[in-house]
Amino acid sequence: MKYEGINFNSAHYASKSEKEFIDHEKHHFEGDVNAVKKLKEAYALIQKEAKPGKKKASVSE
Amino acid sequence: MSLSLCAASVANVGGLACDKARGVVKNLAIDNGKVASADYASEIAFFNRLVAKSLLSKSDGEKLFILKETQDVADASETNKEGSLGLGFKTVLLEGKPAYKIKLFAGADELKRLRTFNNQTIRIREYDANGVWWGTKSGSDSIGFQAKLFFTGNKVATGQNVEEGVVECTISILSTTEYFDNAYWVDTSGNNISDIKGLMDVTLAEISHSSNVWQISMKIPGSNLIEDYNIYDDYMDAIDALSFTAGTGTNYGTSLAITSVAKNATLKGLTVTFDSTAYAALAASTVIKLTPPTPAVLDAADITGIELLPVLLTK
Repeated sequence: MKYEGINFNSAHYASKSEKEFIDHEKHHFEGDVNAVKKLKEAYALIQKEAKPGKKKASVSE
Repeated sequence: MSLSLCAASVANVGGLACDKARGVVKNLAIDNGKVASADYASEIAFFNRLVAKSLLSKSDGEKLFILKETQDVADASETNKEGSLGLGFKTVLLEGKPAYKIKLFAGADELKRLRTFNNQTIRIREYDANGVWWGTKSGSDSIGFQAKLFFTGNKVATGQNVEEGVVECTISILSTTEYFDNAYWVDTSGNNISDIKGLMDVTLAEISHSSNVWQISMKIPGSNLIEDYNIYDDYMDAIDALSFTAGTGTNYGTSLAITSVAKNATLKGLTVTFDSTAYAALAASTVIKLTPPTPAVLDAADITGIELLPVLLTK
């Protein structure tokens, strides 16, 4: 999953916590005052990609 | 009735209308591999296989290296050895083997790369101006003709002829049996020869590293003394979207997770981050093999004309 030019390994982070992700990848945003915000956003996108919402089962009449 | 054993040793001599014959050579392809029969079931299948072979890594035995378009060709075949008898009979004793001198355009860097093939015994496929590929067969496989190549060039131009950037290649065919008696052709004139691509090596190297975060450069080594050619501005936006892999141990078979890949605008390179836990568990001096995407994957992502070479990184 590419976010702000960084290609994160979604499969690797699918099972990791947000804190683990931020601790591990914070070097990409050194000096950026919005670093944590961006990393949280990236993590959310990774989780969305890794665990897409389940579709409701269709009901046939 | 004549008394003859010829029936077991000769062929009929009729000819098909529109039978093929070699035309002016347009391109040569160095191919030490094969095209299996399933891949020459049709002209397009054969052509597509050549395209795919050109996009293999140079470390693959099936790799096909296509040379640039020929600009000049001269027959340099050894003449047949003849013998005669005192009363006037003359005959061919030994057939001379085919050889050619072709010219193509290439700069100093490309010439250096071409010269790595000098005097190597390799196999070549010929592509002529009629759009026909020529080769031979081994079993049911299509293969190239066994040959030796020798490249020269990059001499001072005299200003008397077209010489600047002209490279001469001498092609010496090893077997007349392959070249004449077992020559086979495929007409791919409906396809674009430019789809078969020549690649350039891009060397990956460490710029620096801080723990599990490595900065990697990607450059084409060349003859420019000042610096190698950095592909950053051309391709890095596309390259950092692709998957790299890493491994350690025997044959680098133990996977080391890469958690992110990003371009580094300051260093004009690539930032590769390994999983910190796995990285910390590696002993000091452990060698990590970083393997980039294959040329075929790069080509599919419109990153054309290059092969990224794997790099060994020592922790």
